[in-house]
Amino acid sequence: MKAALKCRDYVLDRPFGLVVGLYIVILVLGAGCMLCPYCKSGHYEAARELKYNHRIVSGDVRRQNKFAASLGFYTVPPPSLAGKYVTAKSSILAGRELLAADLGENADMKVPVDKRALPFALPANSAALLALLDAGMDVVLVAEGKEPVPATVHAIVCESGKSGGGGCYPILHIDKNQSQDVLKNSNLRLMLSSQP
Amino acid sequence: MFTSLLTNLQNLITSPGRFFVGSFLPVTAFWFCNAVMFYLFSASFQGYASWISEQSGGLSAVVIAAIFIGITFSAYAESASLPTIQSMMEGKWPSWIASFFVRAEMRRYERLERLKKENGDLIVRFGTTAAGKPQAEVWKDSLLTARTAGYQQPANSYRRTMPSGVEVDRLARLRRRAQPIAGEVLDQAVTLVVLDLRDNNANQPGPANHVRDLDDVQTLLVMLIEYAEEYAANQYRLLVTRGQFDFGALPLAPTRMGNVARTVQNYAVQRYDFNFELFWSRLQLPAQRDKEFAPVLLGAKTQLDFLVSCSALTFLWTLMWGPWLMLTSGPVEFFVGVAVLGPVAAYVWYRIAVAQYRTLNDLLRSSIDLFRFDLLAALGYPKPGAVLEERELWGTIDALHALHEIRDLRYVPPKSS
Repeated sequence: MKAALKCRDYVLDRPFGLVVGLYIVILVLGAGCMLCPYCKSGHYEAARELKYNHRIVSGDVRRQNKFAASLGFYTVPPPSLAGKYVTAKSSILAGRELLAADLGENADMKVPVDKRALPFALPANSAALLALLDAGMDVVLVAEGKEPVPATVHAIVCESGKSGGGGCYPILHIDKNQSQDVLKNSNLRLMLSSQP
Repeated sequence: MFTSLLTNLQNLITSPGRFFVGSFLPVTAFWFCNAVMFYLFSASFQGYASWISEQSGGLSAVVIAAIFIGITFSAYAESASLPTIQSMMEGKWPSWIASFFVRAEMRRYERLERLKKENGDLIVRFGTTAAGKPQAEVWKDSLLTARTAGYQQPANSYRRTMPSGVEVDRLARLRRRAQPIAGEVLDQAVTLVVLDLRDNNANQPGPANHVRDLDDVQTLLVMLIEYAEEYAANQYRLLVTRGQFDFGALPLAPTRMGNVARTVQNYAVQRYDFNFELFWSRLQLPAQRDKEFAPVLLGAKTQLDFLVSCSALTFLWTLMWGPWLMLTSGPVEFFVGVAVLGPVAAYVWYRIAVAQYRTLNDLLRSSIDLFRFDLLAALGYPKPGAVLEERELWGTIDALHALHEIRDLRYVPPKSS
């Protein structure tokens, strides 16, 4: 009894210590709750459909917290996701959780036997165009007096440490028999196209 | 009460520089930190920020102007609420909360009182002895007398490893650690050294490797006596000053800042029986007229405003983002970082603000010392001729102004310039 009273006095004589102690307890409980594997809202999901070979950029992911996501929060991919490539064979649909198994460090550069993968350098100030391009998207390469060359965006790759703008460029896959024409013509421009 | 007085000061000496440093800079930093959090977590905000940076000069100037107006507006609102914020930091809380938290300050006050008591005991030991001489002189004399008596001895066999040498070295270690040396301990050391000085001729060389040991021990002990005496006197002065700078009159406020705030009124009443809280607004005018003193006072108040703003806004930022990150299951590392570093940073700002408050209060004490006669002249009261007369005068003026009692005081005509 005496010891309990002494203990009570000791604690009450240190009110700010008591507040700090309570704060630390809340902090530990809060952090523990956030780390809890059942705390699904702490995980990231696809904010839109992510195709095979897609490079994850800002706006592609969101946290599984409906309220925060509705206010535009946690839509910037964390370092563990930013710049990774979707390696799942089928597209990741919007709202599906992003699993480590579905992501890879590098884009898959394998192309069909009758195709060739070619990097295509975009002119300067093409950040907006680059932001529109996505893996699997059909495009055409055009030049004055030449037949348009249909192509498909295979992946967007970036130089190490760069995440957009000048440091990134599309890899296109083109029919094998047209690849020589493309390599020889330096005046080709890239245009978006819905044509195959 | 004191905060509202400082508000008066604020109103009187408001300047663009003070608003810029005291409110605009901290509020700008606050919005910048919020923008950083938005930028880190919101893709749409990131996109918006990129869009602004890519816009032409005219449009981005409009956006920047809008941001500037928003910041200025919020800074002005913050500036207006600064006295309320400061009042909260001073512990103007509901009494049940204040009485719960005041224990911490009371413990600090009791610790200071205990130290003063211990130091007082130390000083008493160095006081005047029954023989009418200071204790330190008695010790030094007894060492000198013993040394003279030792000259009768034919040789010196003293070694530093003897009990007196060991004891003096122990005391020297206390000095090295800036610790006090109690009178009783010095008494014992003096007794031991006196015995050895009598048994050995300190003028003769000692054994090999101990040639000057006895002389060294005696010299060191004399220095230690002087150190102990100075330590006790200086430490007492230091503790009394600390008490005057840290605590006002009882009962205490529940926070450090609150107690520091009360020290000026306490000083004014104790020293002059001058009601500082009542007369500060009147005292400001002569203080403001002094071209050298006024900028120093304004500078100190500006710095205090800056620190109070920084502390409050850091706390507010933590209060916004900590719970938000937790409730929306944000990144745990960010939550821990914000929840730990935020309060620590706010507390560090607060402690620096308390230190700055001491400086400001010292200036306010100086303003009382320097300008109180100017205030008397402005009020048309006579200048007192002695300390007690002055106390009585201020007491009478206080009764007239604060208690609305009718007292008689003779006016003096203003000096013609």
